Parts: sequence; structure tokens; C-alpha cells
Amino acid sequence: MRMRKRSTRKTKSNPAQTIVTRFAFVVAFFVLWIGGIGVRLVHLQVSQHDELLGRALGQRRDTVKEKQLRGTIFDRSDRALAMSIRVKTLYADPAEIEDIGAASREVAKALQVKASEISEKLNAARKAGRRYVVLASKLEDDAVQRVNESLDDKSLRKSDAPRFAGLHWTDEQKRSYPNNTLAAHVLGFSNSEDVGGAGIEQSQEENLRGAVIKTVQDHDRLGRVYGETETEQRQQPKDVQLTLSYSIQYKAEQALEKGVKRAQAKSGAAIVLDPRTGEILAMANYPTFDPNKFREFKPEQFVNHAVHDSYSPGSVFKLITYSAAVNEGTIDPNGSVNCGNGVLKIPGREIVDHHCRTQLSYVDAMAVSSNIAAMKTATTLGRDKFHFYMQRFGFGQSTAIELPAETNGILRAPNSWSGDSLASMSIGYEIGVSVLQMATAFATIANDGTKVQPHLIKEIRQADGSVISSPEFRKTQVVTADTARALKKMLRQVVLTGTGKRAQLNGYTSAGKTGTAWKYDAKLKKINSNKYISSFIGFAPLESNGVVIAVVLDEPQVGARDGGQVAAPIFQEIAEQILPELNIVPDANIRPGVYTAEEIPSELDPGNSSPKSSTVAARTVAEKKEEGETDDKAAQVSKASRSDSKDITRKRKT
Amino acid sequence: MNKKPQPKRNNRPSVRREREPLPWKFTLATLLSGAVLVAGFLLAAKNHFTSIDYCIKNSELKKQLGELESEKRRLMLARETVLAPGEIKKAARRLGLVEMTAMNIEAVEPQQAPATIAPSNPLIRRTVDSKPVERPKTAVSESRDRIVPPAQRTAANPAEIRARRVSKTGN
Repeated sequence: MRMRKRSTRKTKSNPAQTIVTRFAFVVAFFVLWIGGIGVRLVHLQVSQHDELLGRALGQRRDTVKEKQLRGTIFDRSDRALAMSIRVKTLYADPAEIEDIGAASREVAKALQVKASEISEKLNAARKAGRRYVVLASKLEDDAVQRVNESLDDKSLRKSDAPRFAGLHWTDEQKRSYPNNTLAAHVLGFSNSEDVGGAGIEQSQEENLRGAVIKTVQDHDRLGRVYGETETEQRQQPKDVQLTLSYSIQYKAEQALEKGVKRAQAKSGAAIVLDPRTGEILAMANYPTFDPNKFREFKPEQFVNHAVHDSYSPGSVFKLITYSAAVNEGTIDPNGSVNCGNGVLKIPGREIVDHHCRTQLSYVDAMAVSSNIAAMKTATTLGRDKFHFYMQRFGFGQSTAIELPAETNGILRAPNSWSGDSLASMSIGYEIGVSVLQMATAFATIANDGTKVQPHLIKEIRQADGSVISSPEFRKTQVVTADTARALKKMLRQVVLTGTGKRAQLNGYTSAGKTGTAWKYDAKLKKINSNKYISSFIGFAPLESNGVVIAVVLDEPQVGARDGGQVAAPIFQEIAEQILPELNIVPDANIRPGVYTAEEIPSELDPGNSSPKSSTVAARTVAEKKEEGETDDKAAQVSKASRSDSKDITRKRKT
Repeated sequence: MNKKPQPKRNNRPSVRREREPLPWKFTLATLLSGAVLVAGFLLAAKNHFTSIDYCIKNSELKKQLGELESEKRRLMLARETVLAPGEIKKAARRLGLVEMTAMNIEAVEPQQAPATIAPSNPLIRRTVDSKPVERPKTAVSESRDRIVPPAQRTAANPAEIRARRVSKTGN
């Protein structure tokens, strides 16, 4: 009976107890579950935190490296002379390509190259385990589109172009020189790593170089970027504006090329310089090179003969001799020199001068380029004074122009001179100068005795055009303005009656000095009288500040080979073309039959009157102006021509 | 045997809990708070996705800007290449233009000059390349109409017309 009762008790358990028990089970289950989750979370977020964070970021975050475009080089009128553009390079990942043979045939067809070359590259890379094989480098946009269209495999699901298995594009930049050879020696070039290798590209590397920018990008599962952060502070590349004028540079180069070819010279250099500001308007070299294809040229062709080479200037250096003597008052520029019988004995040598056999004025001595007169003039100065003036004019030291590897020239200290050194130096031997140094010396005289540091950089600017620096250049008074005026008169005579007649200009006065120097032969270790350096350096117009033009030819082979014959015509051609362009009012008579500027009387063109009429008016005034020093014959012919043919118009022979 | 009286279970009075009326103010406040909270979450979520959307658009615009700048540079380069002095010279030669020199110019003397031209500035000077072709007759007559006074137009001879044509054809 008891037993029965007990069994009854068991079956009739307490329902509240049951609920509590069950509830306890559920709670325990949840506690265990949540606890398990908690433990797992702690494990994930504490123990495996770094690893998992890295994996998470790796899935959504990329670090993109991009190199900024290199700065642009402009001329003085903001025409781009060198600029960089974005291009793309096509590369293959051999690991992603199944059939290399078939892929090579397709790619070769698109790139128009041999399929065997591509398959060789890809097979070699696959064997070596390389996953980056360049197939075509630095293609421009149109070429990229053409390749993409050609390699479009519509059955393939691929996010990036080209839609072809294993092929990808990578961004790069390419340096372009739109004017090809124009100012190549000044600009230089930048190599495949976009590092300047010569010229302004090299000297301004710090300013032009584009920084590598690291950008962290967050992207969603579709590859869309929703967050970008630049990880490094960057400095924008800067643009460089030069003092060169592309138009003047082109004209100088054309004239120089013609002159060098005509004289069959080894090379030539020309500089056009503004004497007031020291700005170099043109610096030409021939032979030249194309910086777009600089690898196709020999390194010798990259030499800028205007600043890298030093040479014996010859008679053009007499300018320094006479300037020093006039400034020191050891000679009277209006006076004369006694050349004896045209023979001068100096220690170890005897100088014979056919130009000067008796008394000769200094003006005429300069005009005929008398060596004895220059030597006697230097003797009146003495070694120290002459050396002092050579230094003041800037010889033996760099001009600090913004080009790499500028030569200092050669100027020895007086205590190392030999017995005939003073005489030799007075006529431009035993000294090494650069074309730029000589041009600067002539600019000093043209600028009334004030030397202005020659320079090529006008401004350095940010990409938005704001100017960062506009350098100031030092000015030095080398000789007095009176001395400069006296020297101008002497140089004018060279062009009018002396050795530089071929430098006479149509419509402008000019002055200058010829130079013909024997070259030092390194093989013979002495002067070689068969090899010349011929030069003409001068300026125009005479009185108002215009331009200084220096022309130097190395080893001319044809004709008389002297500076007056081969270099002066180049000076003339450059000057006559650029002076009207610089809006310099003609100050001399215009000879008939030669055309110097486009001038249409305003009455002929009612829609376009004022600027031309002002130019015509200026020219008319200048034509009426009597120029005492002008070639009388030319002036007479000119006047006669004008009186005979008023209202002349011109027609062309076709 | 004493039998303890068993307490009657059902003897206890049944207690009936009285339900209090629903505190509707409290409920309303709770619901309102819940709604505000949910709305806040929704708003935050919307803002989040909108910001992501803006970020994506911003990124696309940046990319587009970069591409346009690249395109601009390419066009600038193309312009500079075409305008290079050497290229202009080549193009001029292709068009049949000849370089102006003293050799391909000769002087002609018109019988009567326009009255408006000052005698002191008679020369028309050019150094630029020019095309040695004649303009169409209509163009010539138009230009002549512009530059020659009506009184002289009938008096102009062929040499004068040719000379004027030259003066207007240079580029």
C-alpha cells in the first residue's frame, strides 16, 4: 500500500518544481551558449585580433602608389617645351594564362609584333616564376583603346581592361618634348625613371620631380572606392618658366644650322642675350638631338658647346684689352697707336701685322683687328691690371647659369704667366673662355658697362600658376659708361669698315667683333694652324639696348674660314629676323629689296588699324632719322630708291 | 490511532488578483521612445549608406577629374606639337606656301595710288610664309571694295589690282 502511495507521489511531481528545473536548464543552456560565444569572441578579438584585422583590411583596403606628373618647362611666352602625360604599360601575368601559345598569337596581332617574341617572353617568365612581363610600354590613350578593343574577350568575366585573361594595364608617365629638337641642349632630357639627365631637366630636378603618393583606398565588394586617405604629406612638382623665346630660339637654330652647313663646320653655337636683364632669349647648338629619342644619339651630341666647352676666343677678346685700357686711362680711345713697321718683338717671338704698319687710330686698330695694337695696349696696362679686368668681366669663373657642368674657362694667375703671355692673352690666346662668358662680356659693354648675370630661369611656379620664386640676379659695374660708349664706337667701326662688314643689318645699326683663333690640338700638344674657331659677337641696335648675339663655329672648312666670313652672316640673319619680333624700332636705313617686317598701312585694312599704323609711323620716323655712322652707300641707295618709288607695292614671283 | 485532520486544500479562499487598468501613458511613452530609437537607428543607417554612396561618387568624380586632367594634358601636348615652328613650316610647304625672301618679290609701280595711303609709308613688308595663289574673284572684289574709294575703283588698272591682291593674301 505504501509502495503504491510512493509511486503515486512520483508521478504526481510538483509542477512548480518542474518549471523551475526546466527554466534552470534553459538558462544554463543559454548561459553556456552565450558563454561559448563570449569565449569565442574573446578569442577572436583578443588572441586573434591582429591577424583578423589584417585579413579584414586586406579584403577591403588597398594601398595605391601613384607618381605625380613631372613639372612642365615653359618658354617665356608660356609655350610648353617639355611636359609629362599619363600613359599605360601592358603587362602579362603568365600564371593567369592557360594557353600561352594562343594568347601570344592574339596579343601579337593586337600589338603588331611577332607572336614568337611574346611566347618566348611568357614561357621564360613562367619557368622563372615571374608574374610581371611587360608586353608594351608607355602607350598613349588612343593606342590603349585600340589594344583593348582588339583583345576584348566577351566570354570572360574580368573587372579591369583589357578583357583578356592574364593581361593588365599599369599607369606610368611619359616625358614629351613637343618641339622635338628645339632648345634640346638647354632642356636636356629625363630618362625612363623620369630623372633629369641633362640641361634644365637635370639642374631643376628638385623642382620638377613628381613625388610618389601613397593612397589608402577602402572599397566595397564591387570594387567601388568609398574612402581614400593619403598617407604622406607631399610637395607638388613645380613648373619652370625659362627666359627662352621659342620663336627666337627657332630662328637662331635655323640660322645656325644653315651657317654650319654652309661652312661645313664641325659644330656651332649661338646665344641671344638681353644685355639689360641678362635673360637668355636663345641658346642654339648644331648638331643637335631630339630629347624624345635621346637614346638614339651619341653622348657627345648632348654637349652644350655654349656653356660646356672652353676655347681660345682669338680677336674677340681684344674687347677686354681695349676696355681695360680705356677704363684705366692708359690709352685715349680717340688717340692712335704706333705699330712701327708692322713687326713687334716679344720674348721668344716676332709678331707680324699686315694691318698696322705705321700710325693707326685705336678705332681703326679694332676695326682691322690689329694684333700689334692690342698687344701694345695690353703692355700699357701690365699683368695685374689686365688680369683684374679679365676677372671683372667674369673670365675664369662660372657665370652661375642654371645648367649643369658649366665650364669655368681657363684663366691663370699672373705669377704663372710666361714672358709672352700678356701679349698672347691680349689677342685671345693662352686663355679659355666659354661662348656664354664672351657673350656676357659684350653684353656688359652693350649695357653701358654693367654686367648682369646671365640666366635661363624666369620663374618657378606651382601647378596652379602661382609664382614661388622669381630670382634676382646680381649686377656689377665693370667699366664706366664712358668707357662702354667708347668701346661701342670702336665695335661699330668693325662692322662699318672693318672685318665684320657682313654683320651690317638692314634697318638697324649693329656693332661687334670678329674672332678667328687657331685651335689647340691635343694630339699635337700645340696650336694647329689648320683648325680654326671662328666667331662673331655683337649687338644691335647700337644705342638703344637690344640684343647681344654670339655665334661661334668650330672648324669651318669652306672659304676664308674667318669669323667675318662664316659667323657674321649668321649674326646678321638672326638679328634681322628677331629684332622686328622684339618690337625694336629700326634705327638705320632700310635697303631696298629686303623685307624686314610685316607692315600694312592702316588705310589698306580698316578693320585692323592701330597697331600696324603705329609701327609704320615709328618706322617712318626712324627712316627719316639721319644715321651718321650708317653705310653711306647703302643710305644713298636707300634714299634714291624711296624718292624714285613712292607708293611702291610688291608682288611675288610665283 | 489519532488521525490528524488533513487540511483541506480547497478550503483556502481563492485569491483573485485584480488586474490594474493598463497604464496607457507609460505604454505610449515606451512605444514613442521605441519608435524614436528605431527611427534613429534607421536614420543613422540611412546616413551611413548615403555617406558611403557619396564617398563612392566622390571617388568616381576624383577619378574622372584625374582622367580629364590627363586628357587636357594630352590635348595641350598635341596642340604644342602641332604648333611647333618646324611643324608649321612643314605644313606650310605642304600647302604650297613659299618662304618670303627678296628673291621671290619684285616691285611693281601702280599707276595711281589710293588717296588715303600716306606717301611716307608705301611699303608692304612681309617676312612670313605666304601662299602664292590668287584669291577668288569675288573675294578680290570684296577686298577691293573695302580698301579703294569708289571714285578710284573704276580707274584701277590690272597692275594695281594685282598689287592690292598681294597686299591682302599674305598670312
